[in-house]
Amino acid sequence: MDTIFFDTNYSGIQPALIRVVVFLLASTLLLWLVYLGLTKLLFRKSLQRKELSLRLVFLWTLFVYFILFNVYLYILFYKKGADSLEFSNVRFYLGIMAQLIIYIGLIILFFIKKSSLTKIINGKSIN
Amino acid sequence: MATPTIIIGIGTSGLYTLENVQRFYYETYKTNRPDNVEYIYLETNENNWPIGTPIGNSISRVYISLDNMADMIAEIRSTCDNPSWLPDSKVVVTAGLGAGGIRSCGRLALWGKNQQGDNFSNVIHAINNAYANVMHVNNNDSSNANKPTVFITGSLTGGTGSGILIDMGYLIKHLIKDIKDLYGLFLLPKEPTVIRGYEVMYGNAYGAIKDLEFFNKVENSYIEKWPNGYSKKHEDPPYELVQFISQDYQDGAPAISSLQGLYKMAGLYLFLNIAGIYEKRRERLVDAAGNSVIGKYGTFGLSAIQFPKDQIQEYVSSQLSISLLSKLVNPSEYYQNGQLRQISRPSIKQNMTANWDSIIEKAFAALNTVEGRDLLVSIDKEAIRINNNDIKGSTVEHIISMFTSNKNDNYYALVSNNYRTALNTYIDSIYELVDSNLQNSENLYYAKYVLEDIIESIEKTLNYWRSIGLSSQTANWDNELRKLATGCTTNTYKNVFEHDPVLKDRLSTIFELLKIHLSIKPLIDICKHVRESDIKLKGSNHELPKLKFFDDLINRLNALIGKNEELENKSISFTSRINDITADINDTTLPILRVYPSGSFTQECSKAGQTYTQKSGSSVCSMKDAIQAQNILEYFKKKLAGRFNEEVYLEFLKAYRLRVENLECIEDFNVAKYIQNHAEESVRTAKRATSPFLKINKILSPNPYLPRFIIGSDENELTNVIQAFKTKNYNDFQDLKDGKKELTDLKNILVFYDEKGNFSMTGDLSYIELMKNSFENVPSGLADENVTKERWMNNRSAYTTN
Repeated sequence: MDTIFFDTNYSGIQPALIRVVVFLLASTLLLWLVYLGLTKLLFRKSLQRKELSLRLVFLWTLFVYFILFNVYLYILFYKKGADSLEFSNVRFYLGIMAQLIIYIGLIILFFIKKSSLTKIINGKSIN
Repeated sequence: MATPTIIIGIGTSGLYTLENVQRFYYETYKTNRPDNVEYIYLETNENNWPIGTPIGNSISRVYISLDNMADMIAEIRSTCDNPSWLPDSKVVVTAGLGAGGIRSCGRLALWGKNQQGDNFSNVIHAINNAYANVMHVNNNDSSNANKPTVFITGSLTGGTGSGILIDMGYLIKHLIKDIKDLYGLFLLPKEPTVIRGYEVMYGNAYGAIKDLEFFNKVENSYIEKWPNGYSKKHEDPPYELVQFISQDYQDGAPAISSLQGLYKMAGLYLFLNIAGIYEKRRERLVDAAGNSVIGKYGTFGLSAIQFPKDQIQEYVSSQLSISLLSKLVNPSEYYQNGQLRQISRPSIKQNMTANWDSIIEKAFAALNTVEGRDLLVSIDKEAIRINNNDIKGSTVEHIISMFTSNKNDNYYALVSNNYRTALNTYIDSIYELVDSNLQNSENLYYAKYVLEDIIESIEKTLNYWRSIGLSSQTANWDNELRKLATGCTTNTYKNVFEHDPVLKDRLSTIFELLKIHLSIKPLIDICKHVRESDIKLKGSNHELPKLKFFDDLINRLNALIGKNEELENKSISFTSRINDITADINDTTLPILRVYPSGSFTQECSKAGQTYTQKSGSSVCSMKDAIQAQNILEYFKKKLAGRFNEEVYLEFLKAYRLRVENLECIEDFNVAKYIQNHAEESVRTAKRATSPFLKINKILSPNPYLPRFIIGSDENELTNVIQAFKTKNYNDFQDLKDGKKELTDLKNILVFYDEKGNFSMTGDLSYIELMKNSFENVPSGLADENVTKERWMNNRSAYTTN
């Protein structure tokens, strides 16, 4: 558990890829849980179309998850200490590749979903 | 007991005279006529209708139509033994409107029948009715004093009056067996300065006088077989006495400047007769006839000193009507709660956008239920069935079958068949919106802008719907439906257990889009209806108003208040009436001296206007003043379907006259007192009564047997007036029983009356030779070659009297 979520050392391509897959699975699970929870809490009495509400809830889900992920990163780097942040070292980036993919992936996903929602609520759309 | 009296007006002149009688009577007694009097008028012009007083109209109109004259001639020819007076069928083709100035066509109007009705029977029916009514008042009294008297009045210049005057005399005598007196009062054209262009008028009048003279002779008889089958030889003259008046004065004073003035004098004379001078006159005339000082023809002089309360009232009421109508057609301002406000177009637009949103919501909601079945609930159940896979076939095809236009048992069919409900909601809501804004603003422009802006909002909505790919085309709908149905099956949100609400929502969205698709055509129709004239859409109660309705209404109301020149057929308007009143008041050729407590007509009108504002408690006129609780939109719709100008004019005028009267804005004025204080000026007016309204060459000396008296409300004051005259050495009116007539209700006026007789029309009328010449000779320089001397004389003749 510690080696996957709280280790920033690069120890080869295979463990790095395993970490990426685990991170993706864990993120998906967490996102689903947050999304499920928020769908039952947010916009229940909204008069707008259900699909729009759900898409908006998903954006909130990404936002909530982003905050949670930042809290996790803070704990990670707090535990590892300031000395572990070797920004000039390529191995450092390879060591936090999973966290980076999730971080950037979250931002990209947010904007993709926001853009598709904007398209739907655009006046010229029949959907 | 008052004498039962029927006054019959012939033609338009007869109508105008009767209107004056009615007006004088109303002004004096606050009713249009006493119970023992009936007014009838015979009209060949379909568009002429009587104008009433504030309490309405009591003149019975009998329309004697001249449609299809050739058929009318053929009918009379067969039923009346082919009378020789009938006009030539070739002549009637060119007769034009009414009797066309052809005397025999006038007779034809009385005798004939066509698809419009049986004129002769209608006239008989009207006379019998009037006779029954006036006799009903005195049905327990069979003394001679209560036998009926009939006055017939009209002009002899046209075809109608000059054509039927003899027939009418004998017809009345036939219908009213116990008649006491039958009098004629006929208007003649004045002494001509130029005769060219007026030959028909003078020729007709001469022909009528000649015929009257013929039947007045004992050796001549009237033998006709009437259309009702009655046939008898009448050997007596048609009238006991025929009085002639014209715009001229015998003494050569400037003639009365307008025909309206002459109608007024004729009306005043007839009014005085029914008000009470008839009995006094008759006493004298019986003596006069016994002493051979009257003959078969007469005339009279009449002058008055008057405080014109009625004209002031009408003037002020016309001004108030103009003020109200101006408020209705003000393009930039309106009143709300008594405050003047600017019409703000952006604010109306903004309100209408919001209003349109709520209208469309209401209309769409109306489509959710069909015969008690809630379609939204049904769609929700269908969504659950789809998600539970309780359907046959694919989800996409099932959804398509729910909303496609190709089936007649699905939601499309249900909504489509129920669409009238939504259409009614649109129309009723728009109508109510326009109507409520009109009621509140009392401004037609405001209501028009509301309608214009709501239509603009509809058009914006339609444009938006088009921009998202929707149209009224069913093929287009089915294409869009397939895309929507496919969309329902992707991204179902089952992973967060929201697939049921999502599908319900998606199906509801399709249902709303279906409503939009079905709304496009009706909404286009609504826009067309409002903007174009040839489409008509009706809601559950009312037809949707059109922009053209407001434009027409504004134009017509502007015409009524003189703001534009579009007066149809020179129909009446408040401005022209105000001008007429002013012209009448300032007409010095009329033998009526107008006197005022404040010194002038203008000051009296202004005083009355101020009193009205004070007593009515508001300086702003309201439609409630004129139409009470009636709906403004419905009121004008009804009026536009009828005779708009006349009806609106009369109703507004009547309403304001009643208000001005009820609020007592104009007080009575003691004219007798004024005369005593202004004796010299009054003597000049009294003297005018001794010069009759006819240019007779013979000197008509005063005769004690002929009526000459002053009429006023108090005999003592009449005595004082005569005494005041004596101080100025004026003695034409004597302080004797026969020299005064008290009519207690005759306020604000004092009348001087002098009757003349014992002259011959064909011998003594100063311009009779000119009239004869017009009768006998075709006017020189006539371009129409068809007018031969024989045809010209035939047109001026209506009875076989040669």
